[in-house]
Amino acid sequence: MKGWSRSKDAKRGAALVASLVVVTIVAMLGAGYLQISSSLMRRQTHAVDDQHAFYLAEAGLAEAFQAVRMGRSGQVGSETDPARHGNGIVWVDVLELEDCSVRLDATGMQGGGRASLSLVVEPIDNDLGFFADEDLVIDQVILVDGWDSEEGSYSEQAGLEQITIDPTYPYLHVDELERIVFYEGTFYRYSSFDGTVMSVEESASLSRLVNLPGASTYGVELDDFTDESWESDYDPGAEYDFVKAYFQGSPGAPESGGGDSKRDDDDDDEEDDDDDKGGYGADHAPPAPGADGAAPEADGGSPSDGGGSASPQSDLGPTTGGGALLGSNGSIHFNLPEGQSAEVWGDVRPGPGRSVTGMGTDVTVTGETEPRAMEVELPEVDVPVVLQQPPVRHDGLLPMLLAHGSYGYESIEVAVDAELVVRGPATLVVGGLSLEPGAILTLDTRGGEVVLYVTGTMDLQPGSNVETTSDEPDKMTVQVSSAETDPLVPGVNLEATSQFHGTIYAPDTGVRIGSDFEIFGGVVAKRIEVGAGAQLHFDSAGFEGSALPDIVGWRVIEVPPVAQQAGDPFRLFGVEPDTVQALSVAHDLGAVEMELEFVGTDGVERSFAGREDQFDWNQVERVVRVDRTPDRPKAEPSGGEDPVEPPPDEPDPVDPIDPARVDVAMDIASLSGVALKNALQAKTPLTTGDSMLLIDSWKLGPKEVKNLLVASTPLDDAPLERLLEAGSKINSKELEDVLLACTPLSPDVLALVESNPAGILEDGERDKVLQANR
Amino acid sequence: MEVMLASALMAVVTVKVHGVMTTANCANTEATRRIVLEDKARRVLQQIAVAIMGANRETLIPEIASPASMSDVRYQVNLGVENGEVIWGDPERIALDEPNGAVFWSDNVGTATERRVTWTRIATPFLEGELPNGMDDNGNGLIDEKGLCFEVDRNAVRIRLTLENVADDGQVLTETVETTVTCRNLTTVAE
Repeated sequence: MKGWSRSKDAKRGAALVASLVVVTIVAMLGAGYLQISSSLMRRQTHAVDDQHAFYLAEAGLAEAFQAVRMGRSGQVGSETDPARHGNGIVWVDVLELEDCSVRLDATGMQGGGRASLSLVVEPIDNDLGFFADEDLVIDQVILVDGWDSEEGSYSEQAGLEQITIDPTYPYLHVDELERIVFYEGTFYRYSSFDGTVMSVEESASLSRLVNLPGASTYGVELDDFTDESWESDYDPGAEYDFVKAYFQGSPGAPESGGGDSKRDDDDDDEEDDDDDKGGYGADHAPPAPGADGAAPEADGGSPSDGGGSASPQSDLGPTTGGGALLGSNGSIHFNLPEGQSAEVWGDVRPGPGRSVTGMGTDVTVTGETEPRAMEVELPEVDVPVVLQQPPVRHDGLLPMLLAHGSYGYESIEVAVDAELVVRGPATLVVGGLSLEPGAILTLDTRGGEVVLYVTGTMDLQPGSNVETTSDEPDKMTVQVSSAETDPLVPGVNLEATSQFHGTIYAPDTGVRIGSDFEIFGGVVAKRIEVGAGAQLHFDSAGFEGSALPDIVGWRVIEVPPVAQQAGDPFRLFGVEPDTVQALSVAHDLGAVEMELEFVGTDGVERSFAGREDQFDWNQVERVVRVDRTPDRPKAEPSGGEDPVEPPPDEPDPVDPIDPARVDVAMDIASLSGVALKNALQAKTPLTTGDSMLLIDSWKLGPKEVKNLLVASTPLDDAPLERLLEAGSKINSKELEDVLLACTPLSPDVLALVESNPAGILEDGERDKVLQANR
Repeated sequence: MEVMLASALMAVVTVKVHGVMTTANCANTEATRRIVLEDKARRVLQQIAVAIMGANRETLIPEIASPASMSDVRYQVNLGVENGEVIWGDPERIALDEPNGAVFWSDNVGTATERRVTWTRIATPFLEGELPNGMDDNGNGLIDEKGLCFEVDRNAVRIRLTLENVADDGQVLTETVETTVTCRNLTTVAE
């Protein structure tokens, strides 16, 4: 019994050991599985976080894109003050590039995921059609429509019958409205004499009156152009007759109508003038387009008559019946005399809060007349630097040819009957450009784009001719940089005869469009005046019908250093998710200067000028006009100024034993971003020493530094002098705010404001500060 | 007798525990493999998607509409903007190397300095459920599409990818993922 008892004692606990072994094994297995599954979970979570961070950056870009569209800077949050979206944070930095496009760099962070994306946009929609910065007054007969040059020619889209000219006759052309035109100069150049093609010199040496009647000696069979007056006595109007006769003899040509009485009358009028104009370059370039009888309906001999009228809905000539865009930053007034009419086959868009007036039965507008959502800012013309040559007055028989390349002239005058040819690709910068009656300007864009910069005035006098060889408007651009001095004298006078295919941009001066200057493209100017019967055709190629910025490029970029640290972003930034601003309200409104005219909730009209973040939109019932000027950081030009060196890391002589400063110093050393901002905010007003540390630390953005300094006013001279002398991360606007908050300034600080040693203060801000202290 | 009974019970319990653990292990291993495979497929798909998003739509070649598809795309990516003009990189390529089941990215395509980075080596020759028989076997609207296939619809590109994992015991796991992305860069490249 005792032995059994001893044996029993020896076995006591064996089950426990076995159990422990089993439990240990199971625990080890469990731990192993747990580790594996948590590893898998982490892996999956990280992939999901990466995806979410990518979407956050995309959301930031979308928000910034819309902000740019609204005229804001596009800055959303900042590296030190990010925005919250969902469970992550995001901010968008903005940089205005040298070409006025804007780069938006968005960074998204969620969990361990990071992503940075970059988008370059052009904030200005260049497709403004025919647009005036000031009020636009239409007080003459006018036809405005549009077409899409990428979809085909204007004539095709206007439904005009197509005419094909035998290439044997290169001096015959079909214009945009399917009218036959005769180029006399080309006729001489291409006519062969005894089988030899005449050179320009040879053709120029021939007198038209002497040689043309001897038509049989030319390779060209002028018999095709039978005209009695041609052989007997040269009649300047005869060209139209023999051109018409040619088509009478051509298969499918329309019958010659009897509608030539007007043309003949005109010819008679011109005869006396033309008798003394011999040789090359007489005034017989393309006939005038427009409402002077050359339109198909009026010209019974026009080939298009054969197909009937393509645009029966228009009384003013052929039209595509749509696509027009007539706009202004101001109002648009139709003020037509009795019995005259205006047709706009498309939209008429006044500026924000403005309206279209004078819409009577004599005015046809087929599209919208709603005001634009935003005022359009017209950027200045950036004139390229080219070698300037002395003024030129060209009055020779031979054309003055400017071949491919870049040219600069102090001014160019083309005398009566002389010709200037600019052959693309070319960039021509002229101080002034003048065409006298009978002068010809040929813009040959067949080889490439021609860009004409005018820094003074552009005067294309009545009777002169402008020819653009391509029917693609994007091949020809005129940019006028000058500012008008007299509103009654527009800087650009387009009284020439032309079917001009191109765009004209004159943001600081007026443009007068004569009745014979038919434009296929667009005009954007400070002011637009139109002559009676003017025809404006907007090229809507690429026009989206909205004011969305153009996207230039999108790409994935490297995540900025502050976002490269691992860990939860909220913990990294030292903030609670609830305290971070939402993405939708994180726009840096302080970076936008705004001028606003509005009707308040009390019905009284008021205005506001200042920063948008200082304006309470709750008091607005209706906006009359708003003009925003975003203040974006500018990209430094390549090879530009040296970056401002950070202040030397030397002990601050002010408040060396200020105990509060020790705390601030610790904050600055240990915190960053929102946490630092909050910590310092809690310590405001900062002492002079704190302020100096804050300025020198460079750990907060300019807006945060400004806010803290303003909250600490009045400041001693030392921090203000540090701001003005040593330079800092603060910029002109913020510095102005600080200085104004400390006004009146001491003489020493004022002297520094005047001398502006670090160059931070821009002229406007400096003047405001000085003004406030006078 | 008591020892025998205890031993027998222990054996039964041990066998049962072993069985349960083996089953659990197999299930866990398969789940783990599937998770890893899916994760791998998603990562490769994301790499391809980001590349296509940053590509210039005008340079994306070849351009084939469904029911045809392609397993080899060439494109140029945006390197940045200078003076208002986008700087485009040299042509890059993402393709399926069918014999090796490799999905790879390469640049300097067709030159001696061509660099090639393999993103995975377990892509299948054909998309899951598809057979090379001239028919749409898996009902996705494409015929005989490869294990990596691109389907272009205007500015959008649908990307499909099938990866396959063969275990030591011969068990085959297949994972198919797909996404549709839009080319963000629509600028025409200057000649």
